[in-house]
Amino acid sequence: MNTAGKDHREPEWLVQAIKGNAEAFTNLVELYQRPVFNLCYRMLGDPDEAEDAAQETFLRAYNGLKRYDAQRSFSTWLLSIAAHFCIDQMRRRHFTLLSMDTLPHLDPPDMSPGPETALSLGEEQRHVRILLGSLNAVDRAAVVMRYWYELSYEEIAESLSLTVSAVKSRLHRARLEMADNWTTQKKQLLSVERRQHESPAF
Amino acid sequence: MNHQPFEDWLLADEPPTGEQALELREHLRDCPRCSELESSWAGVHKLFQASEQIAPTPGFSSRWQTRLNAQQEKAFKRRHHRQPWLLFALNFIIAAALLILLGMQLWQTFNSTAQLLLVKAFTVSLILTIVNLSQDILTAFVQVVGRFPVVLWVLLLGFSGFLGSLWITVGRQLVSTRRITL
Repeated sequence: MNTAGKDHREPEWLVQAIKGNAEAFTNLVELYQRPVFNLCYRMLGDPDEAEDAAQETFLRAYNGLKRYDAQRSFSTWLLSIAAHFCIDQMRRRHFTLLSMDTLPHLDPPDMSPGPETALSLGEEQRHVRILLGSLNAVDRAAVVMRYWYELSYEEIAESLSLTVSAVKSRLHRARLEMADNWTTQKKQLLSVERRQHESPAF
Repeated sequence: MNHQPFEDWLLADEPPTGEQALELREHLRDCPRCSELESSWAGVHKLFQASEQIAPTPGFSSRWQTRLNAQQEKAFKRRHHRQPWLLFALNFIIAAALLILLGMQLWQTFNSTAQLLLVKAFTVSLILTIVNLSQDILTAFVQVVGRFPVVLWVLLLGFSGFLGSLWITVGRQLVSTRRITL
């Protein structure tokens, strides 16, 4: 799995953290902050909300460490907590998030994080955000887990409390939806470019 | 036209097998819809592959520690604030339990009220019977007294008085301890 920043001291930190050592858990936070934040950002589409969700994920993980099954991968467990939290957040927001249905495709309102945030959202990130924004919460989590963390169908199923066949069908549906979305985006971009070329100069 | 197997092959993780690939290529030549899907999905896939994981702003773990401390402090305060209430609740529960026990006792008393009333009624009826009997005896006595002359009664009373005095005197003589002089 691509969770970046694996460290050989992770098992030791994990054992210490389970015993209640907050410092050891902080090392784990340091190690997994990027994958957890990335998942939250891909799910929620807003850096501030992603920061809040990632912080909350680590808090929940810290408080629930006694329930952690050592047979399972710690990173998958963390991502599962983050995904469930984000799905709940999205359901709570109830379609107020940036969506392809409610926003114009090529000129969405400015959702940039502002100068205080270090994230730079390029054109590429904007496209990714729009594509993911067209999916429902669970499909989005499955896509993010598949393409950014290279989780297997079984791992995704376990993380999202789904069956393997449900994951496969959700991913298939999501790919189809994103491909359609991509086609629409490209067509609209072409028509905008054509209109710009045709418009008279002032 | 049926696009189903081709759509599945285009969107599958694994590339189609040799025979499937040939079939797909042939279909793509004739089907603009599937051809468009192929190029669109290729674009999306390429975009995802190029898109790296985004990191949070620096200082994430220290912000997390601050948040953890704040949460623990809040939990401590909540526990501290809850203690008097817990004591109050405990006292309240004990008081309620005692009240329930008292209530049960009272209920039992209320339940035996009928028996108590029956006993009282029996006592009253007994007293009334005794009064009634005494009245009958007195009436019979008064009726007997009226049938004999007064002189006879006076003589009878005098004789009774004499017999009584005699009985008392004899009794004293027999019962009183003797005085012994040395």
